[in-house]
Amino acid sequence: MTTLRSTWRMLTMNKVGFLGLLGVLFFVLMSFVGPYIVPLDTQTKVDKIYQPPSREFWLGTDSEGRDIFSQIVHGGKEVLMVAFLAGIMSTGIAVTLGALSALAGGWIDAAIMGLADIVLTIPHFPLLAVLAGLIKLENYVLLAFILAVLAWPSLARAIRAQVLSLRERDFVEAARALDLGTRHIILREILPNMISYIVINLIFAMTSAIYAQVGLVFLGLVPFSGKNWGVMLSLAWTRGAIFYKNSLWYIMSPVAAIALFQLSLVSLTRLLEEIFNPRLRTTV
Amino acid sequence: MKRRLYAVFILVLVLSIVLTACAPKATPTQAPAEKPAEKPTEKPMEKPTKAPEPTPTEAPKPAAPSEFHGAWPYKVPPDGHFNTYVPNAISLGIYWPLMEMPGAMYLWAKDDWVPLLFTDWEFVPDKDLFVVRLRKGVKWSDGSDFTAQDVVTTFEVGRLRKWTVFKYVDEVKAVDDYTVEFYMHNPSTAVERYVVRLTPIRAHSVYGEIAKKVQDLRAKGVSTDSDEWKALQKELNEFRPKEMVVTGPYKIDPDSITEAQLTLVKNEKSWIADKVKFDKLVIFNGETPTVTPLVLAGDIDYATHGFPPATEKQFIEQGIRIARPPIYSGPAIYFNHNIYPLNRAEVRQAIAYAVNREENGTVSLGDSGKAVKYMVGFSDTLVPIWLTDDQIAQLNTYEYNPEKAEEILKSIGFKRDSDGVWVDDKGNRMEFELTFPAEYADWSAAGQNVAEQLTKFGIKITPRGVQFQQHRQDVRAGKFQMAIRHWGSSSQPHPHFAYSGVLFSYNYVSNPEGKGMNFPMKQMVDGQEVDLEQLIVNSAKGLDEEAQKEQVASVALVFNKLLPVVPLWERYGNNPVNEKARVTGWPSDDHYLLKNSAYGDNFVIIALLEGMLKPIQK
Amino acid sequence: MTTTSLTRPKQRTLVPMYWIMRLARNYLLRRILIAFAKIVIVVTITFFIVRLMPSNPVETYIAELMDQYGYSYEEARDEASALFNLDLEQPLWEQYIQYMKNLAQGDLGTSYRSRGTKVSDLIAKFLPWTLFSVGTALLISFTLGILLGMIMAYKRGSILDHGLTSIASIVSAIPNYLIAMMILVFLGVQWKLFPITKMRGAYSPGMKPGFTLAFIKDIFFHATLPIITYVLTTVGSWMLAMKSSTISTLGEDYVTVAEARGLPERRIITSYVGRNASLPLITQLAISIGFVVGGSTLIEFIFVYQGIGQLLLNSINARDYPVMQGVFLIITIAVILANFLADFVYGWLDPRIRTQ
Repeated sequence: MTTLRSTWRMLTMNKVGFLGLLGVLFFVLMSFVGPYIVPLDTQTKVDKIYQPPSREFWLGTDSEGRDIFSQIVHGGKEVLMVAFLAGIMSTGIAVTLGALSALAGGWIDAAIMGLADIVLTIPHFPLLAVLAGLIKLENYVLLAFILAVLAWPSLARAIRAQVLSLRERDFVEAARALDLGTRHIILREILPNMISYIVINLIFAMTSAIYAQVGLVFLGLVPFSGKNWGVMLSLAWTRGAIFYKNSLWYIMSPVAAIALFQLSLVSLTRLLEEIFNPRLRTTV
Repeated sequence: MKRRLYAVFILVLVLSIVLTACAPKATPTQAPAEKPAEKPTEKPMEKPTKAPEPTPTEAPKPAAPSEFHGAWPYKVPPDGHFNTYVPNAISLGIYWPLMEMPGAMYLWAKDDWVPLLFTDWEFVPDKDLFVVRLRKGVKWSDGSDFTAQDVVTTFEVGRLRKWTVFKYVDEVKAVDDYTVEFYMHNPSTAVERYVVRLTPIRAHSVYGEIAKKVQDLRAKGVSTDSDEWKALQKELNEFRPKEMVVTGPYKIDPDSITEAQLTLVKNEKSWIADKVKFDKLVIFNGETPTVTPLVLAGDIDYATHGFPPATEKQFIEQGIRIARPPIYSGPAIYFNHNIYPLNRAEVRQAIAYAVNREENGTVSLGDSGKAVKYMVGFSDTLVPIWLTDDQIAQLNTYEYNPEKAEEILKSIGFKRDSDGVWVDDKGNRMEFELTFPAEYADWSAAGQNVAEQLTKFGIKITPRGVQFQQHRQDVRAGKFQMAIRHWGSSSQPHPHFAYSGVLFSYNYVSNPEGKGMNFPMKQMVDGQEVDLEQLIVNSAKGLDEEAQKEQVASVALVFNKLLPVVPLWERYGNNPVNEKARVTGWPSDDHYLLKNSAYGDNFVIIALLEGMLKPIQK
Repeated sequence: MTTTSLTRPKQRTLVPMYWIMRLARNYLLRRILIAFAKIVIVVTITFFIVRLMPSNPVETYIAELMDQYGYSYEEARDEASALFNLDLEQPLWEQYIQYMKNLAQGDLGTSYRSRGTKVSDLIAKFLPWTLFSVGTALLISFTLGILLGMIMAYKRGSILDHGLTSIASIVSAIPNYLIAMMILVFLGVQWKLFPITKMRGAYSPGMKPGFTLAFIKDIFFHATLPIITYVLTTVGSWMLAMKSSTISTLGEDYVTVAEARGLPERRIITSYVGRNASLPLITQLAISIGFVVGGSTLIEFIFVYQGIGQLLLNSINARDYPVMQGVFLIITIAVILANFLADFVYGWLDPRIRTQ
């Protein structure tokens, strides 16, 4: 009972953060439970093409007269999963390699940073086009992995820089003097000091993964389906939806979904910051 | 030090804000009170007084110069250039005949010509000769006279580019200053269009030197594989004339070219200069998404880009007229005939019945996607020209009829699985992948819609968009199950080209290694063996049009029966025509000019040359 | 900003020659060699993946003739063979060796599509516009992001903070091509705030380049919309990153100590907090500077701006290998050079890591 209450207090400690949490929960619910409640509208209705929002079609209709709202509900699951996986993976790779690079130094450092520079500089479009010719993906973990492998370098460099800087700080040196072990130093002293920075970057990594998937759909790496916000946006874009006042909803709905999802995540970080970085509570 | 760093930052910031902020102020901003969307008529049109444009060729005129605004993508120099024999030339597509003119332009529905540089021409059957007579008194923009020499030069240089016309023609000779003879080793009526329409005549004063070298090499009997020939090809490929020397009423002002736009100024020396009514043509560079805002802003009078239906609706909303000239081609479902049961004609017929082509056309291209009626592999508009009424009556129009499709499949022993998906007579579920070029908005919409319709019918289709260049390669290499690609021909009215463009180009006929759809061209139809390849080749051979018609009709009837590909709809243009800004005199929708292929012989170009289009008097 | 003022007093007493020698032998030279090796590796990988891409210059040209001019495959193939008569027949590795040899002599080759046009001429024509527009935008965006991010961190929890955070996170979630198009459609077409037709391109027709006021005004006028778009789409992530970095810094002991020592507020903000908080952003800035060279293909496309992104897009569509290779080469050099510099700048800004 008391743990429940203290958890609740911790969660509501920051109102904006709490709203962010609710927002994230909403998107997760909508994407994973929503499809069971709202059926996907696949019926082409030639007389209902590009209808503005109405009681029947909450967000209007698309180029084939199908309900956009149902597509938004069904388009989240895939996006959220790939974004989450890709974000976690790329941030994970970046944090691990960045920290390792900074702490190990020497040739390991040189090798990792060399690799980062190379991955960062190799032009991605031709690379993906080559990949598209070789493989066809049906598996989202693999898709997320490909996105992550291409996305980690710039964050890794930033992490390395921060770790290098933190390594020389008093509290780390103190820990080192006390011989608390590398593991302790990384997990207890260095990581908590970077957590908010990492989380913010994780969120950006997730958002860019949402858009990066779209490129893969257009290259033919993954099947072409409207059930994905990113793909919806691209379809609406190539179909000129932005130019017509009644079809604006077609292009803006997926954008709004992605943007609001990101806003929720960013707000959520406030809560995370307070939980992970207790010192803030006293200074601000 | 730290403070200095931030001081610099702030300085840079302030500076850049000031600089960017000052920029838009330097231009007149229009009062935002009126929303233009509702009242396109009251849109304040910018006056065509572009200050920094040097137009030295023009005599001073009392009124502001009249302008026509078009749009076509081009590359800026040094990427773009004026050597119109090689790629990246700034030849501006449909606007090319206004500069380097061809012999004539064609009227598709009337089967007639608008003579330009040639006054008349004829085949001399017993001599396998094609004779062309030139217009007299025509001058090039550099002052030289237009003569038979220019025509000879044009074609001689074309040999370096391996022009197709040399499959039919071997010698081009000037008989006198105004008569040119084309000697054919492989006589064909197709020569007429290649010589008269598809070859803009270039200036001897520009290309004469290269033409001379070609003649010298040929006189020496040098082969086209030799190093000398290749060196000359290289010379042509890298030749960069300073400007385009033209016979037409307009020429590009090289100083006006930017990434955004270029200006065609009047060529006062042109024989037709008095007939055209505009002082200048401004051509805006760009693809569909970048041209659309300009059309919406009322700055473009006419564009031929492929606008998606949503864009078209906004044009209409703003009072912009949509002209729908035919394109004489459209998307079709291609099948890989190596895959059972897609190689069975009954299956393809069932698919033709099971797809609502009208719906498919509407969702893909709105009113400009018109369902194919006759299903013969070339445009419905041309069917009455090539087929007799009796033959037309024999055609199956495959009107949307899922029950009929069901019947056909059942009749060949197919059954439905428990989930409604069809199972063929060998026990395999009918599940296929349908690919299409992801970037083509209309074809990808058509593909998606076909996938949905067929899945509902019980043939489970997974749609997959493929990068457009990869897609063509995949289909030609036979790496597909079902695909969306084109049928028909937008540049050649003769059905031969519609057939060879599909059944040769995407089949084993022209890819022995990839095999494409691998549709057997020797077929048994009603107990008779038909060699489609031979029929299609023969359909353009010789100078006897009646004989050709017979061949075309045979192919059409076989195509209609076997459906090697299933045509979905015929694409019509959805060209925005701004009737209120600068230009008036537009032909009406039922005018014969609007039956012309929008890319083959564009109606606006003919209307400009004929002086039909005029500036609005202010 | 000169480097002399940055060296620590202790080092000034050293004999300069000795210092340079040591640096060269142990660090700088090694770093330069590594950077050079990276460039060679990336150029090599790029050379091969570019050629492994589906389709090739001949096929794309054939495709264009078929699509745009209605050629049959045979017609198109014949014309293509007359254009590309020798290039693509050599084995790949021979082409590679030839390319590297030419590159070593500073020869980037000639375009496949626009025959005979030097790649270096093309880059010289397109690159300056990208450097100008994206560079200006990056400066504005980074500076604005740092300032607003700090303000947000200081006014944490205020309406200003919430407002800016929301705007920043929403705007940074919208793809830049969409923002660009929204600017055109709403600000340009609907509300007529910008004369979008006149603003296309990098300069007005007939404008003669030169150091004249009219020309400078003109190029800023034409770059306005691309710059606004770049700034709008990137400032949000700078803001948020700076804010979170500042918040971490605010919790640091030295800030508390500085506050306790009663140092002036402004000094704490600039020297203690601002400087330390911007550290992690510096590496990202360096990376971004590297990518300035690449520009943004879609934004340049939408505003019909004559930048290197347009050149790249055209060359990719035509599979014009030498041009693609040339553009990728300068991007590679810029990114690796920028990262190389970032390490030095970082060492200079944060003396703690300057231990080696």
